[in-house]
Amino acid sequence: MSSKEERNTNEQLKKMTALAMMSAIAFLVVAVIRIPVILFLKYEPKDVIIMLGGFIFGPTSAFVISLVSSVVEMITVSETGILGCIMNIISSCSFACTAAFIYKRKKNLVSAISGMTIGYVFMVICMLAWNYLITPIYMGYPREAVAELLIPVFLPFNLVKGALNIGITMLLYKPIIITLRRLNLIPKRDTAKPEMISKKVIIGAILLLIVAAIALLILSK
Amino acid sequence: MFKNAVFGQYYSTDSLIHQLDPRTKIIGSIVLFISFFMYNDYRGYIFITIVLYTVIRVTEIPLKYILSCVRFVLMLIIVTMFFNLFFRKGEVIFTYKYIVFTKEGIYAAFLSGGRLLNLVIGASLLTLTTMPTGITSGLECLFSPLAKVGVPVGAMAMMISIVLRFIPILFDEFHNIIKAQTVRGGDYESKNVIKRLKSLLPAMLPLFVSAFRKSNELAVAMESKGYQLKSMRSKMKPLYYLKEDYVAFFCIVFYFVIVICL
Repeated sequence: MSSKEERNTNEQLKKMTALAMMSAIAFLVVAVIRIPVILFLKYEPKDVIIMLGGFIFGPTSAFVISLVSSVVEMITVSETGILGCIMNIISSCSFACTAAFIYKRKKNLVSAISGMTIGYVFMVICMLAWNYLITPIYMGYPREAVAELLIPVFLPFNLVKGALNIGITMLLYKPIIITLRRLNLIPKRDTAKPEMISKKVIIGAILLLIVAAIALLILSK
Repeated sequence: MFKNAVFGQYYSTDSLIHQLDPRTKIIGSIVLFISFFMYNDYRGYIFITIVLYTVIRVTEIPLKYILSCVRFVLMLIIVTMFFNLFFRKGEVIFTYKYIVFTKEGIYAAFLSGGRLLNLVIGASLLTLTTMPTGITSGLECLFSPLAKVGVPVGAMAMMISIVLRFIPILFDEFHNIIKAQTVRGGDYESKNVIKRLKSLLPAMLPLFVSAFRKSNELAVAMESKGYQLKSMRSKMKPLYYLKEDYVAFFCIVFYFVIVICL
């Protein structure tokens, strides 16, 4: 093994443990801060942590964090099982991965804000579509009833949730990133970071989700 | 509740189901999960309820304990029943002022409420009978074919174990930070949401710093013990299929066939 490769493994290992820690913080935040909004919908600032992870380490890392923390939630405290876990991942990823992807291409405040705004819109659309698809199956509501609920309940909830996420992320990002850089806990800005998952896999996963959505639509007709 | 994330919701008894291989239980719970969506009338509902009840009896976990675990979703169930009650059109039984009760509505409300309750109990059965570490190694085994297309399944499983291990530690850390900040005048009890969110920043910052410090130390420790991301790792507790697992698999298939036929 050459020395360059060795350093690479070290970096990867460091990144892996850091991502694991961020997932643990995401879990912690869900456990500690839960603010009930309406009905059974609760606001939890988990996406903020995932977003921060995405800004620090890139979009794939945001995906990894949301996956790991959702699975941990599923196997420890959650009551909604597999479906809840999947919805969790979709909601976090549609927001954080989009924003992190845009931020990664150009790292400044403008792209961070525009990325988060696009991620925000994308997340709201995604959540409306998936709620429309899954809620009738899960709860046995007739589909028209869910369609009526979408605008007055799910839309404002997701709007408020996303806006809060953006606000808190803006508030937290700068101080945290500066502190961590100063303490040499995360790599400096310009070092190349090795990715854990190839892009093909991510694209494959997104395609799979789209196919699943179409299948659900056809099945439920 | 969250302090013992390593144990999750695990309820220890010596039952047959507790001793099954985690893989068997994961597949079983997925089959159970699918079967909830396969029926549309009361026959399937009654059948699945009976099966679920039998399984609970076999696990020797008191029914009361399970119900106390799912009390958090009671609200969800009530809302579901409520919406089913009023959004169905059909034969009118009686009206009270503006509220119309229909036969289909009442039927749908009970069906969906019962189904949701079953669903939640079914989902928590896996976590009640299996330790999180067991589920993790089970998931790792089940998803290991994905490693061939480049998904780092082993690393993911390792991350889940790290998360499970570090949640209690970070939890303690977070509490200490909150206490320290409260002494300095931070407001963490306020009913005002904005105020509570504002006080989040001085608590999150130290938490992040300590978490990242721990993660770097952990990486060094793991590397010095020879951990590598892409190498094959042996297990402390390898998973074996026993005779009981084959019997359980047979039961699962049998159950699934009945549900399809019903």
